[in-house]
Amino acid sequence: MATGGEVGDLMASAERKAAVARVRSERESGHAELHEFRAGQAPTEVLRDVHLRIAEIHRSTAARHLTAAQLQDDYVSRLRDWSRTRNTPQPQFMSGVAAACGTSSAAVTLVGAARDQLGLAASDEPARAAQELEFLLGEGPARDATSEVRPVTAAGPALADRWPGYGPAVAELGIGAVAAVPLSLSGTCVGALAVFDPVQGVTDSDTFSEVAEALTRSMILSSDGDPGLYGATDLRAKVHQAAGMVSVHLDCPVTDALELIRAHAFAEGVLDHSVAERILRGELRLG
Amino acid sequence: MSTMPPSQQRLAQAFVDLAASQVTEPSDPTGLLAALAAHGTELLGDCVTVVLYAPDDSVGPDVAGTGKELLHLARSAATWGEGPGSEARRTGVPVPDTALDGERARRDWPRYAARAVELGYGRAAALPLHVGDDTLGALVLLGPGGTPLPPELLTLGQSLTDAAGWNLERDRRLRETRALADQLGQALTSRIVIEQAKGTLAARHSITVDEAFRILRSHARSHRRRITEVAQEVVERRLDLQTD
Repeated sequence: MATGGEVGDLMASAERKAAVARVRSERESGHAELHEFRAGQAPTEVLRDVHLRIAEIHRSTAARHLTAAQLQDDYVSRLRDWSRTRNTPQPQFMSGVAAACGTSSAAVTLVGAARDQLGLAASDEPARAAQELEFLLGEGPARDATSEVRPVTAAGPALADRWPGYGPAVAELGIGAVAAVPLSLSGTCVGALAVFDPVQGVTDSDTFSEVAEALTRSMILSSDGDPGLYGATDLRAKVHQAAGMVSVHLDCPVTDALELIRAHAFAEGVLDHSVAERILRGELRLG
Repeated sequence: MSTMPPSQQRLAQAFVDLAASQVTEPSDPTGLLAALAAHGTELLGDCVTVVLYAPDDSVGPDVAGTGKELLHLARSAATWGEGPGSEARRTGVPVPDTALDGERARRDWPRYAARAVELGYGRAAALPLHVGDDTLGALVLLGPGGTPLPPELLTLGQSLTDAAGWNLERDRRLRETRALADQLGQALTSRIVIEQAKGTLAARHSITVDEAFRILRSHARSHRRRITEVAQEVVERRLDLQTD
């Protein structure tokens, strides 16, 4: 459990990010006002339209920075409330992200250049379990959202129609609806934000994609952000350590070893993490 | 000046060209600058337009436009720090219509004003090229003189310049975002490779992963190499590290 100092550091860092986001939002609003002024002065329709279009984009960016500031504010206030009693688990930044999307279960997946999953952060156990399934089965909403670079939603029977492996498995976790949006900025996609069982209508509204964009702008693709989401991003360290071991045991490339661990976990119906731990303890040898 | 205002269609075309066309060479927006100068000259009545682009004081300024002598003057003006373009670039605000043979031009831009008059121009103005929060250049308008440059012309000129600035800003953001995404991917990948190398060494030498990490780190230190590189070679079995 974190000490007072660590929580203080987290709060200070989140407050700083909120302040930066507000400054950026104001700057964007300033640009928008300038173009709105020029639109008002424009002698022709074409000129007016050009300035209004530019103003609109600045307005929307200003709103995203404000959403980002609110996510940080929310994290600060959760930490502050918690630090008074400390009788519950320490609040995670992702819980606030989930709440902003109208659910308690949300997960961020970060992918590499080859769309390979590099890291993940989840707000709660169901979200973590659903992301694990996606990793094990190699199909699911976050994967589709990043490869197609567009929002993905499915609920009820459509889950199994869309993902024959993932659909039934995620339904078994008690999840009835999933949605994911790409985490992308200026045409660069670095992952996806997925939500599980959101309240009706949230994923059809703009809120979901606005939160994703705010998250990308302020935390993931920002020179003063924190892609580790305040220490919550899990790189599956143990799974990769185990893959290194298996690659020696079987004299195979480490990528093949990863696949073997994944297949073994799926066949046994357990998480790859627990397979990895058994390998690391010397209780299990694949091959 | 009594020129027909450009058609709406022609204007729309110019804006699409300036705002939406791709900057082909990221570090070299010459094509876009040339397009701005060309649209300006075509759309802004009797005026000839020259673009000054000086994003960085450490490298020489870029100029775009037509006419060897005019471009030479624009380059000299940037070197002298004189003329409406340099002023708009420095201050970030427009330089209003100014008579080149007037007192103000002769006082503030002695070399520039004299040379421009020699080339046959009578009036000048400049509009700042904003890229995000920065002013990186200016669109300079030179008119034949006689009558002042009409305000509508300057309004249109500023809008054309804004459209080009918008394009440059988007391009800059695109490159910044891509660089951040690359850094993020590399940072995550290196941490993963280090974990894999820990497992590889642990299995090979029957040691714990913590011990494996110590060996990895001390090898990188003593050979003055990046731990990620060492880890990559261990994972690919191009390097084995001896235990003590």
